[in-house]
Amino acid sequence: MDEITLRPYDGIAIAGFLTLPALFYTAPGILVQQNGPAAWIVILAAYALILCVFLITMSLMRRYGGKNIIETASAVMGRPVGALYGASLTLYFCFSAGVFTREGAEVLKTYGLRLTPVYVTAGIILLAAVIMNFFGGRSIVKTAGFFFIIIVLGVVFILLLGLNRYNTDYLLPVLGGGIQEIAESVRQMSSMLAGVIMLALFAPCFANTGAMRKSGVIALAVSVLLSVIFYLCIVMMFSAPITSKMVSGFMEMGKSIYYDHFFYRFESVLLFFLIFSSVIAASISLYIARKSAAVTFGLRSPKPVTVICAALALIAAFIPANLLDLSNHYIAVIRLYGVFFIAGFPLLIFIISGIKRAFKYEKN
Amino acid sequence: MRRIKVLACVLCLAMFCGCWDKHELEDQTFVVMMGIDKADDKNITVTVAFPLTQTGGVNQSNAENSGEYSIMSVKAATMVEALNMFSIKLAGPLSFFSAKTVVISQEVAANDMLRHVFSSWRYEQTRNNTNVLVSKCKAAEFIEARMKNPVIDPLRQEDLVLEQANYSAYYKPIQFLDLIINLKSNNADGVAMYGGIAAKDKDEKRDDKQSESKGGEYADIKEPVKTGYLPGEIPLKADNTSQICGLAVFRQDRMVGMLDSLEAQTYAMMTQSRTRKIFTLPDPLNPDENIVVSVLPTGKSKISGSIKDGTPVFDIAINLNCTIECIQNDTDYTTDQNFALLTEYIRQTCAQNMNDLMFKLQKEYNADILGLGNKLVYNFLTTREWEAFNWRERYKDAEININVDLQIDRTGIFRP
Repeated sequence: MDEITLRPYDGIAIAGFLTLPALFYTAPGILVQQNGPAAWIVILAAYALILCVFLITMSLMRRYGGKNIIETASAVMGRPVGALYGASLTLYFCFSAGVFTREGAEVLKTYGLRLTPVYVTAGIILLAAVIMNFFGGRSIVKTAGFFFIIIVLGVVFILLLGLNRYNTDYLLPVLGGGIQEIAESVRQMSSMLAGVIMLALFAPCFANTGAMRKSGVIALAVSVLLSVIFYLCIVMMFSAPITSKMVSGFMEMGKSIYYDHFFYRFESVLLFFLIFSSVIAASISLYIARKSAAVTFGLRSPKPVTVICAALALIAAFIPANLLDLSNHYIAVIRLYGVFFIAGFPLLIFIISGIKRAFKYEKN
Repeated sequence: MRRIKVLACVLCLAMFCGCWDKHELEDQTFVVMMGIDKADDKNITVTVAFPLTQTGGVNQSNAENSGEYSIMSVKAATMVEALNMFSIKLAGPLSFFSAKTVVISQEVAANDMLRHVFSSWRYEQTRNNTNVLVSKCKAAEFIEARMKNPVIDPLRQEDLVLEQANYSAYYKPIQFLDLIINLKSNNADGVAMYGGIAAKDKDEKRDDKQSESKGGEYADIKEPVKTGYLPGEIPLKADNTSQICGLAVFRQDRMVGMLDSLEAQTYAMMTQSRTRKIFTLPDPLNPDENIVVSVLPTGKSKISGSIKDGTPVFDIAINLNCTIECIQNDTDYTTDQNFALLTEYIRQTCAQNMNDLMFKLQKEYNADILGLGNKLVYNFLTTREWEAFNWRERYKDAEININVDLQIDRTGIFRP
């Protein structure tokens, strides 16, 4: 198996690409539709929730030092459950790679490539992801590390360019739809941030659990800081009623930047971010899927699984009939309910592990 | 090496998109202005103006055609359908994303704004930063007048509409995004630039009158001190008869009135910073003569909203810097007494203009184009509470206190 060594920054980049690309797609519109100007509060609350789960997972990983989350699950709950968890992770991340691919292709179709069939753009994105996976984990990590900083700085640059259009009044009423709506949406945003917990799959690749925890916390902090600023900016630029109608608020933001007739419109820059984020996010999802499969089935090399995982991702990418179907059903699975699976299972392992320890202590 | 070759092949795949989405530049027709007029029933007449790039054929170079514009109109159910219809007369598709200004006739603005204009926002080629203008006359006529004998190239003319407002300030530049945000808002209402045509026969009559009048000056010029101009009323003689002047006022999705140039200047002063407005006022010590001042807001006006006994109360604080540009006599305004008098006089005039504007907006138009609702919403925690307050019904009864602070900080290149 192509084991890689991860520095804290690599971990930040991987976790960042699992959480941030959602900003470029349909998620902001949906969240603002539910919560109005209070979308940024939802992100903060979701951050607190996911940070707690992540720290719990890290304490679990420290307890089983040197093992990844699937091996830990096997050690705590038995091999069949561990295998089932690993297989579920494989399927989930194949699906996730497919959704990232299709979502990126749909936004590209909406804003740039109107006549190009969506299977061409989606196919190329997925093909690039597969090739990166064939080159190995190291190439994915290096590419992610290189583009992560460019994309983060680029997003900040675009947000700064919008300064002359921001109106802070649009951020009110501060609680939007109310506390109840915010609480309901926290689950949704948690699903978007939950990707960071998947660092636990790379546990053996980090120098120690502390380095992994540091990566995760920083990645979460960067994602949340950028997401909060992004949601604030997008609502300040368009107001909540208009933001809630957009396919991609980020692209609309690029279209709306205007200083004078020599300096305006930045969609092309944003298309660059969009394409690279989609490819890298799909690559990482695919990598996690094949790594889970390799761990689950004890494969020495994950390469043979790559094609199977890519085929599953391709199916997931091509099944949605259209953008509406994609956002109402497929995106909902990973952005609304994903947290139950990604964050819920490590919590379950932690609880069972705690119970087992308590029994063991009592026995002694 | 093998890996690099594979990667290079895969990158080539990305160029497949060119098979479907290629756009040949010379096949495109780029719209500069588009107008929407009401036709019969529920239809609209869409007019487009575009530069001629290839009508000269092979024997005529593009340079010979440069500067020539063509105008076409078509009746259709929707704007997008109309753009499609235009294509049958052209070598290629009509590109609307290049449109600099969309002109909407007053008739459409007063009735079908949402149906015909807001709905087109969904169209992929609609740009958020296209200028929006409501024309007093038919949009087609306005576009024709705007394209006829322009002082500068029409493309550049429309490009500069926004920048020019910083100097003349007879209107406030409004882009599509500014308008649609307010059309869909529960807290504020929108405005659009207001345009029209100076009637030729009216100009001729005016010329006759002038020749009869003593002194040979424009005898029927409206008094610029208290009354502003609406489009077509500026006594400007030019081959190009289009004029942008004043603002169209919307209440939600319908145009309910208009502001003249003075009101538009006042509105811009209350909502914009760093935009210089020039006012001609009667000299306070010699009322037969004039003083010209330029007024520059030092920043955006500070608006605070509160609710007292169920009534919305707003305090608007505006800081203005003033420069004396012209005094038509030798009155010595350097003495402390005269300087204070002049400062107070200009301050009061500005404050009076603002109060008049607010009265008109509240009582006559019931349109919150200043976005006061956006400031009042600070008093509410949730959208539900805000909606229950019913701002739109309470706006006309709101108490508005305007506090103008004005400093004369420059006196041109002369000492006062």
